[in-house]
Parts: sequence; structure tokens; C-alpha cells
Amino acid sequence: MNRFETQVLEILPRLRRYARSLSRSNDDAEDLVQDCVEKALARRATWRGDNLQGWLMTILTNLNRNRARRLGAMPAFVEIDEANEPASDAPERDPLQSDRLAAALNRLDPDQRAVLMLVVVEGYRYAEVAAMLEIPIGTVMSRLSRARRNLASALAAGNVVELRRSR
Amino acid sequence: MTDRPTSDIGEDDLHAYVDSALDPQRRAAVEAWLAGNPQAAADVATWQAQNEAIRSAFGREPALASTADRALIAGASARRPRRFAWAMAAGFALFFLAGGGTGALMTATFTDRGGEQVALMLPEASKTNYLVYASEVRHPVEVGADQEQHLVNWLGARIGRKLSAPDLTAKGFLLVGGRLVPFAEKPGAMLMYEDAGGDRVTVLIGTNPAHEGTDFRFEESEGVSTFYWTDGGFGYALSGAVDRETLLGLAHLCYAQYET
Repeated sequence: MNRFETQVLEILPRLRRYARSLSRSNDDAEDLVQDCVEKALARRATWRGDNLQGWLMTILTNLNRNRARRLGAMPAFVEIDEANEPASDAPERDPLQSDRLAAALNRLDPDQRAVLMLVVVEGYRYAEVAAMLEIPIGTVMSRLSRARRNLASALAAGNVVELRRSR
Repeated sequence: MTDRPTSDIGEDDLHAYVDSALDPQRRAAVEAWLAGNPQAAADVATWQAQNEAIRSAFGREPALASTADRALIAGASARRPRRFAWAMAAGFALFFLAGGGTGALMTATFTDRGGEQVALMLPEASKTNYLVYASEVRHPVEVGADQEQHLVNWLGARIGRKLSAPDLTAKGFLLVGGRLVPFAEKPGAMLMYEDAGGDRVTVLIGTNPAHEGTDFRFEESEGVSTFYWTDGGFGYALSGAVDRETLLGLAHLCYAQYET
């Protein structure tokens, strides 16, 4: 394993976390990570030599967008019976609630979801996201805003319970 | 709007507030403004709850890279088209992009591998298989030599041929077992052998859509030797941390038994 591959290896777990936050299932995420690594190794020459993590995140974001377009027409996968069950009392690790979150996230536009996850899960600053995705910061803010509002309305829709703050 | 005393607070500030991206002074100003704007305060509370739910679903600190991750990278590296293939793919890319479809690009690049490409992928894939599986003490194979008939039937069905496990006892190597492995985006078969001293070698058999034959070739890297060749619809590779002569002897035995 050469030095570049070793560096990619170190970032792989974080890349997988990001992929999972964008995907419908961990299997999908694994495919995405694998495609991303292949693409990165194939296009190593185009890496500018700094911020490898950001570069990999960018590749994965783009692959995810293409994949989402390909799968475009697929409806969000929600079992109706399950979705209509009343929420349980446990506020944390409530499987129904996390299913609802997943279902709501799956309805988001992939670009909006990517910005939301880069900010919330990966902790990037808005300017870093803008640089990474090569979009103006205004676009980052509008995607973030739409992601949050769309997520809120998806969660507020009939078959989805309100998120509760756990404190 | 009477309830907007500080008119310079915009929605971007609310997001930055939710994401803890404001300096303390600005943060205090937003808090003061929110106190007088219940609708905005409700949005902010919703977004904060979203953040917490998302972090609790996805935000676990990533683990350290695992052996499986290492194999993933080795596999991606092995599958990577070599320079000349890549240049060809780039040519296809221009062609297909002009035709207006990036999906076609992926197809052109990653499928329809010719015999030469299969041959190019064999040594790296075989070496990786050897490195990943031969070092496994308890689970080196999926199906052991005690079920040899089941093993060859199963793997044969997956790679689409009648398969037998070559007899390498003439060189002191006995079958340990085998497993299904990916090779060139298709199922491949891996057989593992071991000698009395505990040295192991692996045999990789994958499909070769081009049905072209190549000579025996030898490669050695990271202390692993590999002989590989293609013959008819299949590619073969033997890898092991053994000397070249030993491996060549084993390769001849395999070749003789797999002759098409």
C-alpha cells in the first residue's frame, strides 16, 4: 500500500460516516465509499495535494448526487403500518423515531442533504462547505435553509412524529 | 413589524446560531432578538432538535480503519484500470460525453474488460487475496477441504464452469479449502493450500470474457510472489510467500490440470 493509499485508509472511517448520513442503507453507503475510493485512486493525479479529506468528501458528494439522480423516481421507503403506529415513550434510540428521521431525510434533495450533513455531522464551517462543493456561500445557506424547512415539514406530516429534544 | 427591534438579524444568523457558528456578541444579539420573535424561535428550536436527532443517528465518532478497510483499498487499487486502459477510457469518455451520457462512460470504463485487462488485474487481486486470507488463522476459507466436492460444485456454479481443486500434493501442498471472492466485478473462486511447514499459497480463478490466452507471467511485491495467466474463458493466479521455483512448480501443476 503506497503513501497515498495509506492516507485514504486513515480517512476511510470518516468517509463512511458521511456516506451513511447520505444513504438509505449502510449497504448503499458501502457501495458509495467503494466507488469513491476507486475514483480517488484513479484520479489521484488531479488531487492538488492538500486537504485530502475535503477532496474525498467532494468526490463522494458528487457520486451520491449522480446515484440519487439515477435512482430518482424511487419512492421513500416507509412501511405504512409501521409509520401509523403511535410513538413509543422512550425519547432516545426509539427505532420508530429514527425510522421517521430516515424517511424524512430520504425525501430531501441530495444536494440539500449533503450540505446539512457536512455542517451538522461533519462539523464543517459554511465557508469550508462552499469551497468543498465549489458553490457560493449563499447557495450553501439556501440549501441548508431548505434542507431544514423540508425536513421539518416531512417530519410534521401526518405519519411522522415531532422530534423531541433530549434534555 | 413591531417585534423586530434589531432588524439586521437575518435567517443566516439563525442557522449560524443553531450551528454554534456565531461569536459570543452576535450570539447574544440573536438570543435577544429571538425572545421577541416567537415564530423564529420556534423554527430555531425545531432545527436544534433536528441537529440533535441527526447527530444521534449518524454522528458517532468514526472508528479507526480496520483490516476490511485495508482490503477495500487494496481491492480498489487492484481493480483500477492501468494507465493505457485509462487513456482508452478517456477516449471513450469524450466520445460518450459528446453523445451526452455519463452513464455510458461508466459502462465503457468498468465493464467489458478485455483479456489483457483481466491479465493485468490478476496479480494484484491474487496478492490481495493472499494477504487478506492466508493470514487468517481461524477463518481462512469459507468451505474446508473436508467438503471438497461441495466446495468445487459451489464455486464452479458461481464462476460458471466445472471446477476441480488441483492436486498439488506432488509438491507437498494440501487443500485447505476455498471461498467465493470478487474479481473484476464478478464472482471469482479462491482455493487455499498449505504445506507441512504451514506455508500457504492461494489460487485465484476468475472469468476472462475475452477468451484470450496469455503466457505465464511472474510478479513479486510486498514479499508475495504471483504467477498468473489466462487461458480460454478464465484467468488464473497463484500467490504465496514462497520462492519463485516452488511457486512455478505449483503453477505448472495447476496449468496442467486446468488445461483447456
